[in-house]
Amino acid sequence: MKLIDRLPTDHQPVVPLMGYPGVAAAGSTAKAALTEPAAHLESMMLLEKRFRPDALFMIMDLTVEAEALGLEVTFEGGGPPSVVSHPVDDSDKLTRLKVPDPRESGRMPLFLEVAGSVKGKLSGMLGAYCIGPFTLAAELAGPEDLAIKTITEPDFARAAVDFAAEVGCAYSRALVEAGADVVAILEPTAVMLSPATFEQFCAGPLERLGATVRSEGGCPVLHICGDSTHLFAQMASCGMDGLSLDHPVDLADAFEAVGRDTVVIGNIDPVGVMMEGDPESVWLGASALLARFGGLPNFVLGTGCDLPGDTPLENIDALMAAR
Amino acid sequence: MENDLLGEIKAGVIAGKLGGMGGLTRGALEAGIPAGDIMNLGLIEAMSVVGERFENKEYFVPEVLVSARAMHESMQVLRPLLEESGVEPLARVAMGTVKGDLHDIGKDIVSIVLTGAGFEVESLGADVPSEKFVEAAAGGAGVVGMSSLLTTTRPRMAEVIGLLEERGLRDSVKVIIGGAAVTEAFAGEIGADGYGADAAQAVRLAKSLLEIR
Repeated sequence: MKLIDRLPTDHQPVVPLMGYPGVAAAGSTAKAALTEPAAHLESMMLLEKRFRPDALFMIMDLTVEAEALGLEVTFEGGGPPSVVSHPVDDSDKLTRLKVPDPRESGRMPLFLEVAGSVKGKLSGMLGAYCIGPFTLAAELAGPEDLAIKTITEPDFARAAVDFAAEVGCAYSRALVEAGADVVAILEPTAVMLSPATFEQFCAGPLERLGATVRSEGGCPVLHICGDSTHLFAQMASCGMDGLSLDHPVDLADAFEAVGRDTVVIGNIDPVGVMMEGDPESVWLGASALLARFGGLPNFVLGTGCDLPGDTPLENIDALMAAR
Repeated sequence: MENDLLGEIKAGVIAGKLGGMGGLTRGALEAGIPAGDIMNLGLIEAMSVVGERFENKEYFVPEVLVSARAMHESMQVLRPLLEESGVEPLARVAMGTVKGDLHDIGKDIVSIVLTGAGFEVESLGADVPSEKFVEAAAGGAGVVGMSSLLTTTRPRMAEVIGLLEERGLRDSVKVIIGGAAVTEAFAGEIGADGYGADAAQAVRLAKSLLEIR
């Protein structure tokens, strides 16, 4: 079933991406939540009890796939982890990599375990994350190097993105098997590409990834951070069930680009409003979006991007009040 | 002849022609064109066109990065000569991503566009200890630019400003910030001189703060 057919129709669906506020509320740390299944689960259940969102997403981690491929990851700084170095910069190194088995590689098993534990305990859908092919390829080769190689070594860039999509297919298939209803494909690094370059390197791999999620019975959603307006036509053509969009875009442009059965999720400013604001400013922002899009069956009110850990829970309450 | 050679260098940078820029630059020098002219009329004019195309969404990040690399090939030939001739940039901007944050691309694009606008950019890299920003200010940078894409790292920006005050350097340098983790309001709160939402805003901000027309 497509995402649009799974949305509640008796109220406005609201889906904030709020893993890190959950970690903070549980008195835990990013490192604990992303390395210990019990801590991850505790944060999620705390969010479920307080907010009961229409979909509860797991705690975001853009390093899982890269780490499973052998790259070094750091939790220094207390926030989301980062990949330290990007050593896969030529075809020889790339061809030596194998698609990791999600059941036994790095921290992938943790996410599968937690998805399995949470399943059945939620009032709404369970959402999981999978890194997008271009973003994973950028972690492997280095974001600037990969950007340059789309021009100077397009064959390498294409091979890296294609390989990354295979990794994503294996992992997202396992996530859906474990219990995820929705897989949000996180493709932030692609925001820097022209529509033509996106078409050339990202469209096909994203389409394959989305089709894999759907063939397992999951709903694929594409998330790109920042101002992705220039890519809306391409993003709408990847066969996704939904697009999750950040605060710099005007959602009206997105609704124009997608079909009526594609869900558009967004796009309250995660830092300027959700973290720095108060319940009143959140409510003002939400009301403005509801006034414009609240009548559309394919609109899901959400945050433009993952919320910072310091976001006050009262501000998330104010967003949930839109239901 | 001179114009042809300069035009070729400018076109090479705009097109992101890699591999031949060193040779073109040496050819221009041999033809008697001063290094400062090659930089100002060739490279900087080219990067200014690249910056405009970026702002107009004709160029995107990959195209800008390849043009910057072409410029660097030429600069490697010019740099020793420029130091001798004492050509002065508008001002020096020290640019980096704060400690704990490994994001590179955003501030690099800002650096490239600033270069195209005539600034000299001192690249401090990513994951930069606060002390390094202060050292750059002490070393004569007119502007310190800081980027943060993780809200957990943005308190470092206030830390840098505090250190600048402690060392008595705050009045001699302008502090500008950017990145997805910060806002105009945050810039005000920590006492930065300004916030730029994108590269073009950063250039306008740096120019207006330094009162450059």
